[in-house]
Amino acid sequence: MTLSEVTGISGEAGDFRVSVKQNPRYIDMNRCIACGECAAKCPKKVDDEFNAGINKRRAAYIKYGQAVPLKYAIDAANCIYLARGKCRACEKFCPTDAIDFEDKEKNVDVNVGSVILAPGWSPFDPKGVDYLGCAESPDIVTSMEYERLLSASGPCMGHLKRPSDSREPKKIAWLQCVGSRNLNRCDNAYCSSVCCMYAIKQALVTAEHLEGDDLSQTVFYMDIRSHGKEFDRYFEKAQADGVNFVRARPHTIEPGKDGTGVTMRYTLDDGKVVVEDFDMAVLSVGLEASKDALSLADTFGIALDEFRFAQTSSFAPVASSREGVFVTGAFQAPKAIPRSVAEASAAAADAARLLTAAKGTLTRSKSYPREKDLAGQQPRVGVFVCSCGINIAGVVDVKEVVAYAEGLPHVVYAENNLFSCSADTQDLIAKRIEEHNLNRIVVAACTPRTHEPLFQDTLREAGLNAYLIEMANIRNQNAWVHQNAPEAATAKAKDQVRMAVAKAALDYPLARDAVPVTQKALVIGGGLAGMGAALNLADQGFEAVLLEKDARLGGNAWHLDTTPKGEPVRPMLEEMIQRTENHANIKVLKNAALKSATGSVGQFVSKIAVDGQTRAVTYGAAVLATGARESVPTEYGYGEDARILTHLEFDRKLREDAAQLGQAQSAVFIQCVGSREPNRPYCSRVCCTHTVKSAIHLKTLNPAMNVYVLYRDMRTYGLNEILYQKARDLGVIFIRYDVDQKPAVAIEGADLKVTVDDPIVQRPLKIDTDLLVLAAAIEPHASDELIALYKCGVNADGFLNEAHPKLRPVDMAVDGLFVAGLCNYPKPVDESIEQAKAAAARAATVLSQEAMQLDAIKSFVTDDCDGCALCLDVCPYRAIKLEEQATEGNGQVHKRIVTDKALCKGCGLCAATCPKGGVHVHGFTLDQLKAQVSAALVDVV
Amino acid sequence: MNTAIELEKAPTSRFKDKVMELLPEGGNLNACLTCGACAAGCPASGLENMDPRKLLRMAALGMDDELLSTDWCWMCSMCQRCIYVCPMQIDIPQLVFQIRKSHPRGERPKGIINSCDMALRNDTCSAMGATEEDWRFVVEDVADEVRESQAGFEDLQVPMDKSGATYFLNQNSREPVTEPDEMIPLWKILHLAGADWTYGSKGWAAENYCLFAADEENWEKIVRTKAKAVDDLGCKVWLNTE
Amino acid sequence: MYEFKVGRLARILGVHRNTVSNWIRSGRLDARPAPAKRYQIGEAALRRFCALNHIAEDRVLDHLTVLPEAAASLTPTVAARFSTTGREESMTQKTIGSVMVVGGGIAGIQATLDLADSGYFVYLVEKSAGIGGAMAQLDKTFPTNDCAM
Repeated sequence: MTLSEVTGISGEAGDFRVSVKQNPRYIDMNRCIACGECAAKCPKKVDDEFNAGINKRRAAYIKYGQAVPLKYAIDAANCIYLARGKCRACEKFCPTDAIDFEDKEKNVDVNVGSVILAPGWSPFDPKGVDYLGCAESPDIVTSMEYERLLSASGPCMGHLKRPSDSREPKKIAWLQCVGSRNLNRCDNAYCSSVCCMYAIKQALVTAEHLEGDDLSQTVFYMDIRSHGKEFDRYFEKAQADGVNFVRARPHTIEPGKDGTGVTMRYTLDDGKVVVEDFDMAVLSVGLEASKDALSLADTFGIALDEFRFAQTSSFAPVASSREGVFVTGAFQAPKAIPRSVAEASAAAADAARLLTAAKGTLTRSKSYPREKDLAGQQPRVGVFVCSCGINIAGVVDVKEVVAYAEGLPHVVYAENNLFSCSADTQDLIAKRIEEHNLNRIVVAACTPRTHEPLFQDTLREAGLNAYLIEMANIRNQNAWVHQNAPEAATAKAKDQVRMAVAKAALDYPLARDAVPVTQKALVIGGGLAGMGAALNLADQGFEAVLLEKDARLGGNAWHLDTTPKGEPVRPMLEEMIQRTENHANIKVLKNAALKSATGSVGQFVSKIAVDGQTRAVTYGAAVLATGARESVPTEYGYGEDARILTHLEFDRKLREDAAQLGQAQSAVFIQCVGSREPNRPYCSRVCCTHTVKSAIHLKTLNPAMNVYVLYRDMRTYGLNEILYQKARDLGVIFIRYDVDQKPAVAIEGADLKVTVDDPIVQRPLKIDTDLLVLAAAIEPHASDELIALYKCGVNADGFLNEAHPKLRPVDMAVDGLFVAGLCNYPKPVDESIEQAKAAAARAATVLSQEAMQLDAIKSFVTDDCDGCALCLDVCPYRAIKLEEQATEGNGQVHKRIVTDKALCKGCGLCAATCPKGGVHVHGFTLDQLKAQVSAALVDVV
Repeated sequence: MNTAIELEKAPTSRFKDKVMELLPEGGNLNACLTCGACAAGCPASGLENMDPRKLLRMAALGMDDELLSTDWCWMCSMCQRCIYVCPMQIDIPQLVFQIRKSHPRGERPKGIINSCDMALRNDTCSAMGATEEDWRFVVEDVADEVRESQAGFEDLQVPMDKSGATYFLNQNSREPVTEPDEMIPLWKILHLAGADWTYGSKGWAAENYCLFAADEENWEKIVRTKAKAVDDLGCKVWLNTE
Repeated sequence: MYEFKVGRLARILGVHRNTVSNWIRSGRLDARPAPAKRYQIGEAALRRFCALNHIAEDRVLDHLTVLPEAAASLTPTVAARFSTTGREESMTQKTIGSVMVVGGGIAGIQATLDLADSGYFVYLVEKSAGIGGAMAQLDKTFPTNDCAM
């Protein structure tokens, strides 16, 4: 429901009534084909919010070229007709009569079981801050404006130009922490969590957009917070690639000498003042709460924190203060895309958990007509050449291609469409199939990755098998890359269509297999993440077997004292353990070890050794939550003195003998002990926050204690920054050290001394201390066994890998496997629980089906296979096995391969390798491929 | 200098802590992130190998000897550029002021102290020692010249001690003593605007060197003298040119 | 007797919440404070207000919470217990198999897909003309340099 807002809610969890106001679009979505004529003819210009206000759009507009839904809208506030009763130009020119000025606001009442709030964030607006210079210089832009300037779909079409004179900038500066970690000119004392990374990305991507060796990118920062998975490596790479990182904040950004560019003054550690000119400055603006946060909080009656982000607790990170209403994404707290995606799944898990009783009651499934029987029919191919607005037609002469297609063998019909993917074109295609008795379709348009499923659906609705379609990519592989050669592009488009037709003629109906799904889960690891996943799945009605190698559940959480938000961990942990052990749907196996894993998604089988016996379990999906551990420091005198502790040892002392800790007169914390070094080039993410929390605790026990923190970058990201501020306010002293000049620890008689150089006063400090706490790195458990069992992957640091860092952060590359907790990457309590819920939500999408439909593009074995087994090792998905089979009749045994349809992804490597023609891929048979090649070379050979 | 700074266990009261007790919210003096924005904009950065960031850092580390003996505290112009951009809004100017105060009066820069003492001598509050008679005379004399020689300003008035006037205008001593003609442009503006204003014969000097001298008692004394002069004339607005 | 929250009434009338607050303070809107930041106003007073300010009654009355008549004469705390605004104590334990997701950015979209794939009908409510949110504005994303779209 677009152009819609919630206006009210009543009821309770499980049964809410929500009123939604749908603002009028003034354009009939069933008729609009997104041709763009209304916008072209609309006289009213409006600042384009999508392009961060850099350029203008019209009152009749579409957000951007690939918007979903791909329909235009009229901005009522700016439309001349709607505001003043004049114009209506759009109506005159719309080819499908889609303009509807009679459209009205609609109010709809919807009955739902639960609600998820994901309204996002708003960028900090630096215009009111005079020393940032935005008002005086056009070459000072915000990061969002810069993204649009870099974007191929933005105002510069991807050719970066600086605003003042449209020249390519050569020297660009990024200023971090604009509108974050600042309580002087705004109220955003927190850290926005993402800006360090996005600035580094922008700096590196800029180099791709510009040419020349004289490029210079400089990032001015206070701390570089590259604390996520693989983030530190990216930071190191940026440094290696020549991006300058200067730890200094300029005072004022002034316009350059001739009104272009900027000039800034900054101070180095030693006090030297530098004045430097840049062609452009990018302000890394922070993430503020969504502009709708207050009104949503009011409407839904949920609590917000002082920064207007949703208030949540560490053990229920996506639950709002109102039962049945969940919060996720940047609204929950500022965060980057991977965590937003995982947290969204976590909210889905919690929302679903409440509604298990009603699962499946309101879902709709489509019904299709019976497939026509094509036996004995010759191929009758219909070709639909798409203009894609001007995307294709602007380069390729589509009319010529249509005319050409009509003359091809087997083609009985061809036409041109403005947008093949639009709803009305689908109806048109179905109609043509009827009219001309088409039984094969060729769509010459974009990449199959965008719309093939859509066209397959269209075929099914018209009574044809979904696999009787071929797509010729005349956009990505033609018009987009041959913009300067329209004649050659048109010729190439003809070639592409000819090839597609040749293949289509050999298409045959394919059936999708279904594998039955064992609607049970296996969870490996009984810490917070494992229990979290098991509990959510169990609450959703799925049986879960939870394996734990130790004698008790809980894992690392036993060693923690409180969360950063100050919540005691033990009580929550014990409650969670109790719920897990008593849950009807969870079977807990302790002192257990996984011995084998066979099968594939939907039907895994494993043997588990527990209490000296072996048990077999079947399950449809598994969650790996095997955790990690605190490493043992090999420096700073660890192990030589009882006063030197790791963080977990410190927490233990806090629990067992806080009074004794309070008697210390002095304490030193050293960060990054074993992290961010060549043998562990990653950040352990939790230590800076844990340190400031511990420092605050010490100061509370004994305000007179001298507390020092020795750090490389303080990574108290997100709302944890408030703890860092509190620690400083309490008098904790933070001293920065360089990895090349680490602090030195010496035991001199009864004294424990730490020496470190202070970069600001430029002198060594010698600290006499009673306590030394080391932030030991979190390291992964050895995962060789797991890898061998499941063929899953780990990254270079040994942590289990997800399928895609941004879009599939809890899925593993092996279908049916999901990952959560420390084993994936170091993280604090709330993120572990979040990820666990996310893994449960993702596993539930598999387990919710009784049978899983597989795609039909799979390998199949013919009688020509003679068991040479060359293909076995080639298959990346290990989907091929060699079997002995008895030949019918003569009792002889021969070898032949068998392919697993669930594991097979239809990549074709087996078919390409096989010298005997013994294995092929449906829909991409060698005959089809040969036909395509012949068609391609028809003028040459 | 590369000798190590010894940070001992026994809790010591640092100068910084004493200052924090005086300031609202402790002046945020603990909150420093060492970002350097203050030093980047400070006009005195680099003098005496010092800048606001370094100064505050020395205070944080308890380097009280060095902190209280650096001459840099007198090079700070109290312009407030540092706190203006500080993300934590740290009151460095106040720290500087308190450091100035910690110096015995006799050891503070002679020029500033002498000016403070001079201003205390009579009710004009002039740091250059200009007396009431000097002041009246130079104002009248210059005003006469304007009326005689400048076309269009024949009836320019420069009121002195006009009871009940809306604005009481003060004047830095430097103009009447060394560059009297520099007073004229502002008279003309007030005249053309039709403002109801006056000078005072008492408390007219705009400068207050006791402030810069960190002499709080006399700073207050001078301000009260000036305020009394304004109140005695019954003026509504004290127009301050400093 | 009707009960409302300032923000709610402001939205219904299309005015700033401070405006409603000022009306109450000035007496132009004859309402008295009730617990939990709510206000109560008699039906007659409300109709009077609508008439005086040329507001269609049904635009307002249909959207405010009606208190049971008996509650009007009870003390404010007791009356609040009978208030039906927001947190209804429903007698039936009905469970609806659908979810509303407010916000069509990357988080909203992911949550929607997961829920739909798990057997729940989802309403995805987006205030602008298309889904995608802020991520659609980004050029390329770390680490794969895929375009954010």
